[in-house]
Amino acid sequence: MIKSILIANRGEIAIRIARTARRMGIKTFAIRTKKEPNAVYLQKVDQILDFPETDGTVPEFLDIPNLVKLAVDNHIESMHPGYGYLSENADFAKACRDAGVIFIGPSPEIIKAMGDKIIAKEIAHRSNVPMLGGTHGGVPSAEAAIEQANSLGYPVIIKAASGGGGRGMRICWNESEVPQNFELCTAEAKTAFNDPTVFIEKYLQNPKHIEFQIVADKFGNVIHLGERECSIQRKHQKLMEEAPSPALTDELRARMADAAVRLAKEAHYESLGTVEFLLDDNHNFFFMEMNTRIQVEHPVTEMITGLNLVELQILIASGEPLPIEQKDVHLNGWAIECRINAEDVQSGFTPSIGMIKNLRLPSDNNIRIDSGVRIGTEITPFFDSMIAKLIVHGKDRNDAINLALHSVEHFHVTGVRTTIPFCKAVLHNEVFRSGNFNTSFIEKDLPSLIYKEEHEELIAALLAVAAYNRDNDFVPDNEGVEQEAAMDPWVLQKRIRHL
Amino acid sequence: MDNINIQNRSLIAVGSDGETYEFQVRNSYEFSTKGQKLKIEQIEEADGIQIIGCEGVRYPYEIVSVKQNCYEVMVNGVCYQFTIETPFSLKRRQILAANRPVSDTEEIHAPMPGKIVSLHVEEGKEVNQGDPILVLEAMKMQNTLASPIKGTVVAVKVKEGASVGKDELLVEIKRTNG
Repeated sequence: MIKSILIANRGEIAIRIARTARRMGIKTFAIRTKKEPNAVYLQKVDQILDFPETDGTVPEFLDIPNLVKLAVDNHIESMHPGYGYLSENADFAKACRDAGVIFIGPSPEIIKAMGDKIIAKEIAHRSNVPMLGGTHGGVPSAEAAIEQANSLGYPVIIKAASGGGGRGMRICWNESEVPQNFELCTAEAKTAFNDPTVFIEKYLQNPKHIEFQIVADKFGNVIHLGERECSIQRKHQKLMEEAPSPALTDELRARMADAAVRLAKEAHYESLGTVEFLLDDNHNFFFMEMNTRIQVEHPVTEMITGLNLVELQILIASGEPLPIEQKDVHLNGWAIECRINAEDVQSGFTPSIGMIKNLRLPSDNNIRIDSGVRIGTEITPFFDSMIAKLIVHGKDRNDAINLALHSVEHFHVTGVRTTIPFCKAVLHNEVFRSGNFNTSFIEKDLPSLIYKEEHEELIAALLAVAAYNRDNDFVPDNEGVEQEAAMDPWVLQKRIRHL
Repeated sequence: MDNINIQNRSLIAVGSDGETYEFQVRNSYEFSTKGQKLKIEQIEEADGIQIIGCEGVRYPYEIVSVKQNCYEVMVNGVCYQFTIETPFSLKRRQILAANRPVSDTEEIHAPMPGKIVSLHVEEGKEVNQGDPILVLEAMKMQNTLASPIKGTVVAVKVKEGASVGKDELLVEIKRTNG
């Protein structure tokens, strides 16, 4: 069993990893950066290491040589990359392995294969998993692009082979748009991902985004932990996730899970992984990509399975066989995750920068909050905008929605604006509640991005008027009746002194 | 109490879309609007969260900013901006607004600190309302700033790749008449 872990990440995920690792009796190390020397995650580990002085051109959690050196110099046995940053970087996994540090994740070869969407599609093809075309490898020229697009039928999407996160993709609605988009996408892929290779597949309009959690050990045992519904997204950024998905029947779930497990076996996968599918209106599903890290939204799976994904990840990295079999996995009830981000929904989800002045979190049975902030935390442009993940577990979908709603109503943040009013809008929305929604939900089915309570605007106006009245002594209290009751004792004291 | 006196005790909150809420002010906690009495209670609770209670309902709030008579408040996490006017100042404002010529240049400022990832305009380019002007990246998110008006770009103050501070002037656009 692994004895020590260097957590090469920050924020809530660093805390999440440390929590489980410490419970398992593993010594945890976190990295302190100059950008947030008092961050909450630093309090949750056994030992803090200062990141060395650098010229600052490479952000700390992307600095492979220095991260590996920190682990080696401090005799730390393993490295946990969290999500984002270097979590799906094959070079990092390789640098760890070469230095004798266990990388908690799949091998560099698997990360590389899955990171290259063309190779990933070949694996999916071999394992007989449905796809949206695009099994012909990279597209060498604009002419070849047109030829492939015509045979697929429009619309098509041109994607960067090494792309991800919604970047490096262009949709073509007809043949005339193909050559220009091919050139643009190739150029973009080269600058953004240092790999100009692009491929073409059929573009599915407004699909549902459903992903399956896979767990695989080093002995060829592969199980799945059900699906997560991730269709509530804006510009490919997920905002709310749930498990299971209201769109799947037991029969469809079994078929998709089987496809995901087949694909993982074909890839000789190990560690945690997520197979992403697109689902159309007719219940056809198509392989999109496989993520080789722990996902932001992993807690919804933990809620309904009762399993600890970080624990499984560490056990697998330690070379242990899976402690459970597929028959031990049961999906219980319904879980929803709301991402509480420091974003101004009223101004198009722009980042809201500032200091968290006050924070009040809901608490109840079946509510989990994973957060990396506290009162006084500065939300800076250096890092992502997530303040907290609110995860609730209900007995069924309706119960989970109501609990989520109750929880966001009792989640108060001042100092920065958050996505809480957006979460309320989604949870109140009839289309969302019906379960019959897809990735176009925010554009098509959500008339207002924020939820306002009845009379809320009137109260806001009254609040502003009351503040103005006080600030300007507009109607002094000593002119009114019942003034004694209203008078602040400090003011009273002051007035008595001046009599 | 005579009529004039009551008039003087009115305050009007003008919202960002021009909607108005008029309140008669009795003292610092008693108000009325459209004949309905509203008694408010403002409390700071033990954890520092401020609560306004009105007619038995409690709302968490924050006074986000005050600039002269301009109040930005947050209720239930939703932001509202109001300009507070007296009946007299509101009338004066309406008269002034009717007589003032509309400014013909619109300045685009950075809403937050960040990096200019791409610039879609150059000086002299004609833009329509809603056209993308530039993309600003902050917190790993790309935000497209769009033109608020139809017009011609008269000045571009930044280059692609530049880091900008909050409120920094980025682009000026001259309004096209008609």
